[in-house]
Formats: sequence, structure tokens, C-alpha cells
Amino acid sequence: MIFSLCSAGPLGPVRKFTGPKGPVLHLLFLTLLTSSVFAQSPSTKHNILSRIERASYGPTFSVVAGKIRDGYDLDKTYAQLDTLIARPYGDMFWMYGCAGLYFATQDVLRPAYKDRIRECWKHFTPYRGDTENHFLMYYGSLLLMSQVWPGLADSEWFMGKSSKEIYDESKEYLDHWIDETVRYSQTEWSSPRYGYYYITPLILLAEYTKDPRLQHRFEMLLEWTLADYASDYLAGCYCGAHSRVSDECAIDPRKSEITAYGEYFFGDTITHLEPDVAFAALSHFECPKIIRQIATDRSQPYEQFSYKRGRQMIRYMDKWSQTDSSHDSTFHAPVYKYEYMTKDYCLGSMQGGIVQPIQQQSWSLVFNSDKPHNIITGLHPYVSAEELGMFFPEYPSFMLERIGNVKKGYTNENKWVGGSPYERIYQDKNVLLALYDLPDSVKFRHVDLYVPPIAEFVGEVPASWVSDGLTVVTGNTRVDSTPCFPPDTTHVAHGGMSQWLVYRVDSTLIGIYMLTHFNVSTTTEGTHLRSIHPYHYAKEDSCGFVICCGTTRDISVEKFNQRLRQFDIPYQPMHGSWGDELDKVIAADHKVRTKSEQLFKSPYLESKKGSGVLTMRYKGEERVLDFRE
Amino acid sequence: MSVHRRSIHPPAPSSYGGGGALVLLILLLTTQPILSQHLRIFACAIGNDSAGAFMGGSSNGSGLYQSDDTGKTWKHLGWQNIKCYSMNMVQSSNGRILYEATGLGVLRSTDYGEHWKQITDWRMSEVMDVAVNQKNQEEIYLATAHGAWRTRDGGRNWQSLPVGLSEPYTDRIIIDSTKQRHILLASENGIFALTNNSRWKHVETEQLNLQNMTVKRATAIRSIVQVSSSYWIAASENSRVLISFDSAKSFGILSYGADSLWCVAIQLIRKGDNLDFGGPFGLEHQMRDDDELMNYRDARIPRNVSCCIRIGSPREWYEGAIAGTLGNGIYIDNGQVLDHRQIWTLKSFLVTP
Repeated sequence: MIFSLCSAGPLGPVRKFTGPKGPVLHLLFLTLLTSSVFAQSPSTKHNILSRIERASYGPTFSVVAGKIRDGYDLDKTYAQLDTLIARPYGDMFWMYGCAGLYFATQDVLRPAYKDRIRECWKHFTPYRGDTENHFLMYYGSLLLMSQVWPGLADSEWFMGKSSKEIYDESKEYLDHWIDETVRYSQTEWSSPRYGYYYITPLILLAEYTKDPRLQHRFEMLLEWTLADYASDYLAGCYCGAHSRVSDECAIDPRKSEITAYGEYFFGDTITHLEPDVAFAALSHFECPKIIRQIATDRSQPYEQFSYKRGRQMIRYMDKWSQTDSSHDSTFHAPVYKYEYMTKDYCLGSMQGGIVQPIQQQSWSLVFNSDKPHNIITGLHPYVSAEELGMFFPEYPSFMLERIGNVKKGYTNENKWVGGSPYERIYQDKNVLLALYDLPDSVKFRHVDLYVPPIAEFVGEVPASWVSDGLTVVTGNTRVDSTPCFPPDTTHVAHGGMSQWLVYRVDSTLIGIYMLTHFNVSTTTEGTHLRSIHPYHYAKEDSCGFVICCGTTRDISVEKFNQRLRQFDIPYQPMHGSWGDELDKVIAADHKVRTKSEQLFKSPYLESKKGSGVLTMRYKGEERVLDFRE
Repeated sequence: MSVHRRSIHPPAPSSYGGGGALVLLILLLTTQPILSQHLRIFACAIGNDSAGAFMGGSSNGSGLYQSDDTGKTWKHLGWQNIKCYSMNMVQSSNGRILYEATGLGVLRSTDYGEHWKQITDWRMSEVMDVAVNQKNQEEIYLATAHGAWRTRDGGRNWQSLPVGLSEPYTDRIIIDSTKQRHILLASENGIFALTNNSRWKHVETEQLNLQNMTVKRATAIRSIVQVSSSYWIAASENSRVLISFDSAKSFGILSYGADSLWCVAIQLIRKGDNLDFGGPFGLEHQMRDDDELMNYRDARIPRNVSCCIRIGSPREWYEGAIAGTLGNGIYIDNGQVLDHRQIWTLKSFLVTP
């Protein structure tokens, strides 16, 4: 048993773990890579705290903790703390911040404030929430605070349980959650927003949990989470499909909260600062070098498959997805996630359908560019009471009526986040086919594609069947096609379904083929391609698009265009096929996404579903996280 | 107020085999409206009127509210930041022992709601309803968004009851007051009864629609009320009012009534089959007059009625109603909206002595 993961703590003395004694020795935390550890440098930590102290954040526990630790403007800082603990209000976000502050400042916090915080945990009645990240924050905070006051009676805690009961219940939940996560994945997987709310509590738990066994489990899970993130990381962006992403970040990935941790742990720098990084800067945790290498070495392209789980469905099981009607007994839809990562771009997707409400992003093409909006994505803007009813306990019709007050974008036909039960996605490396069979009953019968302003329009390439004089079944008349406009004006034009639109972002070439006629509108925000209904298309009631990528490092523009022309696009109902090229994509996709025995499969990460063991690999080195007991 | 006369005649209660005069006597005894004095009313609020107080969001000031003046004024009770879906009480305790079904589990108070203790753990979330066995208070059943649960030792140990349910969501649970082994569960897929081997079995709710000769099953059951040992009523969002006269062995769907098929809240207010029922359409009263059913819609009460109780005279049905809504506040007596923005989204009421 090796517990020699960490070496020099940048803000403290060398910390060496000693293995726990007795039965907990069964916990195997095997690292074959013990010598090379990447530390977040003291200067970066200092820089983070210094910037956070002077930033104009509202009262925030992590910021206040940093200031108290540094002795920065203490009168004002304690006044901010007064605000944070004054009202009998709180939820799990309040809880983890409060717990983090208490531990990060426990040797310098004024005793009167310790007493007041004690009173908060006696009288405040925080909301537990209903999601996976909520539960981690809630029970993680309770675990830590029941350590602080271990012998209290049930009358001393807001929920009427004793310290021991609270500790035992929190430990039971967190152990259960860890076991589920490392064997069957998170349900809020790959979230650019909520990843931040997993990493922060895990930093606190890994730093301050007293029980050595649990503390190491939290530390390993923090590594596990970072490794998962690292393998989808490209130049500050979380790539691929996402369970939950905000409206804004769906088309501007670098703005996500988790970017702060990506920069900090993988690059030892930070440009996108978020307040909770203060907790990281105050902790000893160091991201292992191998994870940083996985996050940053893009010298060779690679494919990655990972299995994830959808949010638990509570109603309408039969409608969760058209791609797979089966579900397990826990009602978590399976998610088959796949990325093709290169130096210049990452094309990633899941299989389609709805596995998370409202905020799902089923696929994306992210570019290695330091400019904003470095992404192409697309969707069917699906809106229904059933989607909400699948995941939330309120009455479905009521939720649909009121959702506009909470998630303003949900009912908007121009939204850029959300899954659709009518969506099917197929991908083979650099080619993605998205199909949408939209019935009359759906509110919006179009699909949309977002092309960012940084994508330079290169030109059009006629599809092969046009030049070959082929005729599809109906409606293939080409409409005026003038999709290229300067980005500072708004235009709407019609595109025909007979040509590829070719764009370029730095070294990346992108071919887009709309399977129906479409509208094009271009503004400073980007170009918006929208399928036109009724669809003049060989496959009735279907629309969609094909995305094909290449890089000028490997292929000239001319050859890329030739490659596009090789696609035999139109669906041939007589043969029930899409032609050789896309049929190959579908076949390859099927092969990859049915690797259901794997939790991770890539050159960097490997884990068998249900095993509880994750192996990281990089250039002959290995690091194994073994959660088995 | 609008009045709709309906010409459709549902079967009289006795035609269901309900027991004739005995049933009427029981109805008289069990469906008296709440008299205004000596009563305490609890309102269960899921959220306040802030935009985020909804779905996964939290809302400070939600939870439990209490009125001791028949709904005129309300005060908050207990936890400040919690989704309160429904309540139950130990009837013999005269309102001292209360149970609150909430987003984070079940809370119990043994001092009239002054202090509360969480008696569930992390496994139980979004508890929509709680039912206490009045003959054995250690036995408690839960309907949650993630399935049904039972404890037989007052909450120290909980057993999941998933078998027989095709999906997790359950909304209401009720213990037969005359036969405590008879447990009914309202779900998205209909009504279920618990069998002796802890399995849920579908309760028959099919009805032949003579117009198109199709068989329909009631779904989205939102409320179940026991009127007597044999006479039960239920509300369905898809099939409106259901009635059973065979001790809830089967329910018939009444296809007459309000314009909308949706029904969320229901109560029987006096003898016969006079009903209050609420739903997206608002609040409606149905009564029999000269063997003809008439519906009265209270136009003063807006949409999305989720719960209703009666506090006035049994003869003046249109006075003394309190209606709770989903997202439109709470209404009392003459349709006046109470100026209490915290009690904005309600799921149920409970009345205690």
C-alpha cells in the first residue's frame, strides 16, 4: 500500500501520508507513478489569492476565507462574513462555503465567529436540493461540520439529529456516491458548469476529512474527476457532449466555471478566475503530473469512449430516448460518449435522446483557438412538459407553464442547449451525422446549427450526387445559395441542400452539409443555419446535418473538398441506406457506442464498468486509482 | 360565477353497491365541512412567488404555514427553506404529533409543530406524501418522486417498496381508515394497492368509452380521498374524477363535469355526491339538483387549483372555501387572494383540532 502521493505542499510543510491501520488497509491506492508530481506553484496560489482579494465579488465564503487567511482588510472582511451568516437562509451552496471557510481559517478565525457559525448550523434549515451536485455539497458539508462538533446532541443541529447520526449518514451517502461514480459514472457527467461544484467540495473533503480512509477516497475521486476532465480538455475548453451547460457557455465554452480549475490544475496559471479557486489555493492538493500531461498533450489524435449515466427518470420511461428503449432498474439512461481529439479540434458527441433536462448538449466541435465562441454545435430545440416531468417532481403541465421564469431560454426556439428525443447522433472520428425525425406534434420543427464568427467561410462544394446528375426522390431543387456574409450585418438567405458549406478556423477545415434546405442568418454573434420545414428530402420527416473536419496540417483545402465530394449523401429509401460513406460512419459509431462494458476506453484512460479501478496512462507511465475495498 | 347544467346522470351511489342508507349515514358523519372555530389549518407551500422557487430551486420562506382563524392570517412554522408537499398527523394526539412530507424527507414534530426532527435519511428525497397508520403509529408509508417506502419502527428503519411499480414517481399514499392493511398509492400510471407480500398491484380504473369503443385507464392520479369504508373518490389529471363504491377495489371514471379533463384536487363536501374539485381550470363545485348534476365554477378563483378545503356552512357551499394554487397564491372565502406571497405554490392542506 502506497500513500506517498503528495510531496511538498506549496503553502505548508512537506506532508506525508501514512497509511491507515487495520481493516482500512484493504483500500488499495496504488500508484505506479510516485516520483513525478506536478505542483500548483506557490506563486500561482499567491497570485490567485491576491487577485481574489481585490476582485469585486459580492460576499462569498471562499473569498472571505482567503482574505482572513491573509489578514486582508479584516474589518471589512468580517463585515462580509457578518452578511453571510446573518440571515436564516441557506442551501447546500451556503453550506459548503461555510464549511470551507471554517476549516480554511480555523486557526485564525475569531472565536466569536466560530460561535456564530455554530449557531447557524443549529438554527438554519438549509435546502438539500435534488441533484447529484446538491447532495455532494450537502452531505460533504455535514460530514466536515460534524467533525468539528462531534459530540453534540440532536437538539444542537437543525435537522434534529446528533453529531454521530449526521456523520454516519453523511459518510454512508458519500461512500455510496463514490462507489456509484467510479463504477457507473456520475449522472451529471462532463458538466462545464457543475464540474466546478464537484471539484470544490472534493477539494475541501480531501483536505479536511479526518478519517484517513475517507480522506484518501476523496483525494482519489478528485483525481478521478480531474482525469475525466483532462481527457476532454483542449486549450481551456471542456469538449464533447455535456450533461449540463449554461446557455452562454454552450456557444462560448471557455466561459464555463470549470475553466478556472482547468487552467489552475493543468496549466498552473489562471485567466478565468472563479472565487472558489481560493479554496484550492489554500489547500495542499496537487494535480498529479500525469493528469496534466493527459490534459495538454495533443501531439497525437486519439479517440475516447466513456460510459455515463443520465439523471434518474421518474416518469415517462418509454419516451426517454428513441435510441434505446431499455433502461436499468435505477432508471438512469445509459450515455455513450465519444470524442475524437486532435491538436486543432475535438469533435465529440453522445448518442442523442434526452438524458438530462434542459441543459444537455449532445455534441460539439471545439477548436483550439484562444478566441471566444470557438465552437460549432447544433440541436433540435425541443420543448415539452414531458421532458420536465421525466426529471422533476412537480406536475409536468405546471412546470412547462412556469419554466420561462426560471430557465428563460428553455421555450425559446433559438436556444443552443437541450436534448431532443427525436435526435440520433452518429460519429466516426472526424465525421458526425445528426438525424432528427420530427413528428407534427413537436413545437418547433427545425434543427439549428451554430457557426461562430471566427469561422471563415471558404466556399461551397457541390455534393457528389449533383455533379453526377443523380436525382433524389423529391424536392431537391437547389435554392439560391449565398450563405457567406460579412459578420457585422444581419442577413437571411436560403441555402440549398446540394452543397457542402466549407469553413475554416485556424488550421481546421469544416464541411457542413444540411440534409434539407435551410435558412442562413449571420450576425456578429455568428452564423445560424436552420433547416426549413417542410423538408424536401428523400427521407420523410427527417432533417439533420453532416459535419466533416480536417486540418490543413494533414490535408490541403482542395483535397479536403474532394473528400467532401466523395460523400454519397442522399438517403436512398430503395436501399434503406445513406450511401457508403455515412453507412460506414453509422456502423463505426455502433461499434464504439456499444462498448458498454467500458467506463473509459482511450489511450490515456481505461476502466471497466463496475470495476472501481481507473488506469491512467501516458507514454509508458501508469497511475492507478483503485477504489475497491 | 358561472353555472353549467349537465344532463349526464352518473349512477347513484347505491347503484355501485355501496350500501344505501348506511352509506348516506357514513357520508353525513364523515364529510362535514370544517367548522370555523377550534380548528387549525396547515398549508403546505412548495415555494414562494420568486421566479426561482420552482423545480430544483429553493425558496426562503416556503414550507409550512399555520392558521388559527380559518385562513384569514397565516404564520410560518418550522423549517424556513423547504418544499413542503403534504402533512399527516396522529389523530389521537389532537394535533400534537405531526408529520411533514418535504423535499428532504419526512419531518416529525411532537409539540404541535414548534420543533421538527428529520426521521428519514439520504435515500428518501422529494417525499410527496406521508401516511401514518392510526392504529399503529410506528408504521408510516411514504409516496416519493423516487418510489414508495415504509417504516414499521417509527422511522428508525425504512424499506423501499418498488415491486410492481413500472416507474418511480408516486404522488399520494393513503391508508384505509377501516382496514389498515389496505394501502393505496396514487401514481402517474394509475392507482395501486399494496398486497400482503409487499408488491403493488394495479387497481382497476378502466372504463369503456361508448363513443369510440375504447378502453381507457386513468393516469396521473393526484388525489385519493376515503369517504367511507366502501366509498372512495380520486382525482386524475387525465381522467378527472374517479369513484369507487367497492372499497377501492376498482374505480369508475366519471366523464362528465368541467370542461377540462384535468382534476388535481377533490373533496366531497356533504351527503350525496356533491364535490369540490380543482385543477388547471380553477375551482368547480358539482351538486345534484332534482337528480340532475350541475357544475358551478367559481370564477373568482384563478387557474391551477391544487388543493381545497371547506370552512363554512355545509348548506352554503360557495362560502367558506379555501383554495390553494400552483403559482397563484392562496384564496379564501370570496375569492380574495391572501396577501401572502410566501404561500404561493401549494400542494395540500391539513386540518387539525
